[in-house]
Amino acid sequence: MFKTLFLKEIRVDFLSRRVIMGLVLCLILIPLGVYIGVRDYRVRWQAYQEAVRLYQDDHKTVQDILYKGGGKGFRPPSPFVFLSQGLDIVLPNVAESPSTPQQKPPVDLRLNNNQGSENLYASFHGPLDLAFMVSVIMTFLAVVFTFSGVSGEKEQGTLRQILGNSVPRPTIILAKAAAQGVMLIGAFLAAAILSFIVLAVHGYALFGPGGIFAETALALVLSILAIGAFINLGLLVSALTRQAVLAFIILLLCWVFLFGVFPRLSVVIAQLASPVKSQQLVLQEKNRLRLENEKARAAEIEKIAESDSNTQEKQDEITAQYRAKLTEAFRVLDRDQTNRQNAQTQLAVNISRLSPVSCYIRPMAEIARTGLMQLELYRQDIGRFGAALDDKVYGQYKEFRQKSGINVGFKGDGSAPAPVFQPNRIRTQDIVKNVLPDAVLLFAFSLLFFSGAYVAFIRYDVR
Amino acid sequence: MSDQLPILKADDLSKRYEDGVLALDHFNLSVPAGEVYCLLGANGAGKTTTINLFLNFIPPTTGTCYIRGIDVTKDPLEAKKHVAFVSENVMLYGNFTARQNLEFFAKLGGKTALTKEACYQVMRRVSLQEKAFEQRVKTFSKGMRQKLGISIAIIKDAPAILLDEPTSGLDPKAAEEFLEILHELRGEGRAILMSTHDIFRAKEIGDRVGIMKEGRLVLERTRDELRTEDLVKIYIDYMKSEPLIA
Repeated sequence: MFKTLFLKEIRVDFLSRRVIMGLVLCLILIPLGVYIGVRDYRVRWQAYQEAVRLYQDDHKTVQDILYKGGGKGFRPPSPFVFLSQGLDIVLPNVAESPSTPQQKPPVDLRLNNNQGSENLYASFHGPLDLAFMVSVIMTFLAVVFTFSGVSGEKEQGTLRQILGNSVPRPTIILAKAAAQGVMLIGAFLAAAILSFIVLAVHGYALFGPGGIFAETALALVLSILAIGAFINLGLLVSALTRQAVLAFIILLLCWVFLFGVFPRLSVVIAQLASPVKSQQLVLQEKNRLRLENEKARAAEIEKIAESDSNTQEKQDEITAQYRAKLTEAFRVLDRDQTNRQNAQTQLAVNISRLSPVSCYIRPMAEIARTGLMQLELYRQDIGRFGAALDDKVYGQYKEFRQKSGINVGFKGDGSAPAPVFQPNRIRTQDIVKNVLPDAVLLFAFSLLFFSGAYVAFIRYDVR
Repeated sequence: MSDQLPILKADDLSKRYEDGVLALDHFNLSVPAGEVYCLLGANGAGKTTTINLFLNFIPPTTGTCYIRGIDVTKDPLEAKKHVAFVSENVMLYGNFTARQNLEFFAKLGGKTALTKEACYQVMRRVSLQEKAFEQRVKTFSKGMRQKLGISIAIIKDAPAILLDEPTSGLDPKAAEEFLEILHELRGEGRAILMSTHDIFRAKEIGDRVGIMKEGRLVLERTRDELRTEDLVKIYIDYMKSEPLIA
């Protein structure tokens, strides 16, 4: 019985114009999106390599950093940008120390984003990556495929004809869900295979070192769960309505709300519930601390300079103490700011998880290494780079105050190799751990929607 | 009325909808094998509700429907194995051909190993044009769809057939052909319950005719009784009479 109903659903769908158009759309757009993503990555990768090469050629020693515009740490682009561009375009791609040599540690690295887009107009509408394809095209297709699943058959009268036979209702709804799933997910997987061909042509390997299997497999699983959630949502709404048009309108509203409104609202709610100081305020606070610290240090050194116990070692010791104090104060300020930002972001993430679309989009960015984890990792990398600059470059400036005046000089090894920024890569297991709650939630959404559709269909008035 | 055990039986059946409307009020009926029972009545008299109750599309408020002695509410799947259904507007899958529709519903009815020729034979039996067998149903007229609907009912080979205003909207020729098929099915021993507005055809085909008003069976006549009585006059008199429930 299940097989008969399942095959009927497939045949009816295959003969339907809207479904054929949807499938063709999916088969064209997904590989096209992947191709565009890969092309974009290649352009950025070349730009990154060129920037690193030029910088390293010019900044071989500590002295180069001091007198040739400061140190720089470049963030490499993610090869998985075809999965999701995520925050990639807004994340800083270079951290720079100030160009004036006599910086007092801890150095404030400025985070810049100089990734220009070939066509600014693209920024209005966002990228054509897999996350967009699934969250917009595939979820919309799921709505188009399923809105008439129950209510359409009721209106058409075929549901009465079916239920006039000895057919268990659970079998009917199961067959509908399975057939819609197979159709849509089948089309998606076919598009994914075409996309793999595009990737292979562009030199991506599935397995081995640098292989993309783990990331793409994760992305596919997450995509399938998101598509499944919308298929079951479509069936639920269809089983709750008696007219296909009404089901379609309700589903469209749900889709707009879940995709466009709710994730944005969650950010606003998080901002209201957990406010964060602006970056400008934090910088002002840092400047204030630096001035106060400097004033106190200068006063203490002044005292010593006038005394008999004035030695370079003593002044260095005092300077080191004040630097340590300032470093600690900055660390506390930064930690506090980061904690507040993280709390607000996490709150927004958690609120937005009430929408299956949000449970899909952010994790896809994490899988593509263009998400919040990447930002956090980049911050850590920059922290290490800043510490290295302090240690080998800016911390080597010594000043000696005498009654006659201040004697400032670089006491380090200017010919020593310049500290190099070492970007780290997020481990796949960390990504899995991060996206697992969202995957579970997507599965729970699917299950919840299907359970709702099941119960609604069992009670469905077929008259 | 026949002495045989009824294939279709409604026992003190009542249905009150959620909005409070009493659609069926202590309704009793039995249709034995080889009999055509016609239910006449105005819109809202309870004819379709009766059929919906037999098909377990809605639960009864009180009373029981039996198909071949099986309580429809308690064991709907078993009961529906013994009944075929043709609705007022036979709605099938428009993108499927007549044969594909027939095959699909035959499989639902338990006929899993049907040959193409067996499908064709049934469609020939209901006088569906040969060229329509492999045509998509969306191009069919109402008469052709009704014929296909009855062929679906025939192929199920069920002892009971429920027909919900099957001749409504059919041209006279198509309606006549439809009745001929019903004659044949009665001859094969099927119990047929048909709801209709069509007094003339009810008189022509019905072994018994029941008139429903406001959910009650207000009158029942056998074919023999109707030879001497004017069904049209009886029906119109009942329709004009005072409401049963003030």
